[in-house]
Amino acid sequence: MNRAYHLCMHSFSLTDDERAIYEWQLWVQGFGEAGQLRLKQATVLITRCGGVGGTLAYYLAAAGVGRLVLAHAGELRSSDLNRQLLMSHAGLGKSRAEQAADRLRAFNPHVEVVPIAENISLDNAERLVAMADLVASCAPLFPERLHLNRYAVAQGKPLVDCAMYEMEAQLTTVMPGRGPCLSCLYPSEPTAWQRQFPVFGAVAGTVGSLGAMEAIKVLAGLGEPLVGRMLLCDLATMAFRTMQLRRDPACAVCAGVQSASRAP
Amino acid sequence: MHITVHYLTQIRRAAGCASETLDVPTDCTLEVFLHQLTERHDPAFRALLVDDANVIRRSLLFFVGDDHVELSRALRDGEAISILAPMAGG
Repeated sequence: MNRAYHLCMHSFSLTDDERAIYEWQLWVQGFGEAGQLRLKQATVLITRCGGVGGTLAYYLAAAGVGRLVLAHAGELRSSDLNRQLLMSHAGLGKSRAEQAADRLRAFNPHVEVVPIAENISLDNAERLVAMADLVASCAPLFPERLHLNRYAVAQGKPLVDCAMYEMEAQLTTVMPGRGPCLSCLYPSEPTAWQRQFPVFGAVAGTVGSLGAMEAIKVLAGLGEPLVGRMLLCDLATMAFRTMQLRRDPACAVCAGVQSASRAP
Repeated sequence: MHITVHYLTQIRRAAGCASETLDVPTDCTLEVFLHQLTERHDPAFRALLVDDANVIRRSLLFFVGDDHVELSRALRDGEAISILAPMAGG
């Protein structure tokens, strides 16, 4: 079992209604009420809440993560609706972040949802990462992911990086000081990536669901998160591989960073 | 010696195949092997793998078997390489 990421402890407890909602996951071995309380006390920043991030946010709301910060600029377009499950046809032309927040609040009123109609930039990344215990990186552009990585490492916050292309997906978890960060993997920005990419909603949703499970594991101290490893999924052949990653000792972002995590 | 290369994501599209096997010299490093690959494929593939100065792009991930490796890694007969052009679809 991995070491649970340290969270600020508050005098939280579960209500009877919450125990009823989460009853079936409280049965998961090694989770129980202590794990549920860890989720309830946690704040997760999700950038953005489209095909991947929206699914991830949905499952974190279902699991009872206490506070979800959704960073996503812009208004809903028709071409978003093949994958962005938190949206609706009625919301075309309206704020994506607000729609996503409304859907999550309706789904689980016990979860506090904070919509922020901004995408990640150098100007806001430090502030938004500071709001969270864990960062879910689901943006469609590498600069956004690398800004998040930089401040997640600087603030000692775990980052779950979820991405897809066409029928393939990749997932890794950055634990500052315990494994490679995104800058170890991509010391220069990948140049071939284009903003518009081929996508089935089910592929985006698959890696979003896997990313939600990574976040739950890190927050609750369950299982073995993908620290120093990358899951590659090819949904065309249904081949899943777990690759071993190297940390770059000369990394411009994480060289010399020691682990900030500790046992609960 | 024979080396098999698996192409992932955008590299697969540019290569036009999911994998291929090449016959290469016995003292071949990963970097030498990758440059050989660029000579077998069209400019679109080459542009993904190397920059304008013909240097292998640092933003690609290279694996031998399941291990992330450096360009200086010496290859051995029968090994399988995977090349990943990283994804950011969200």
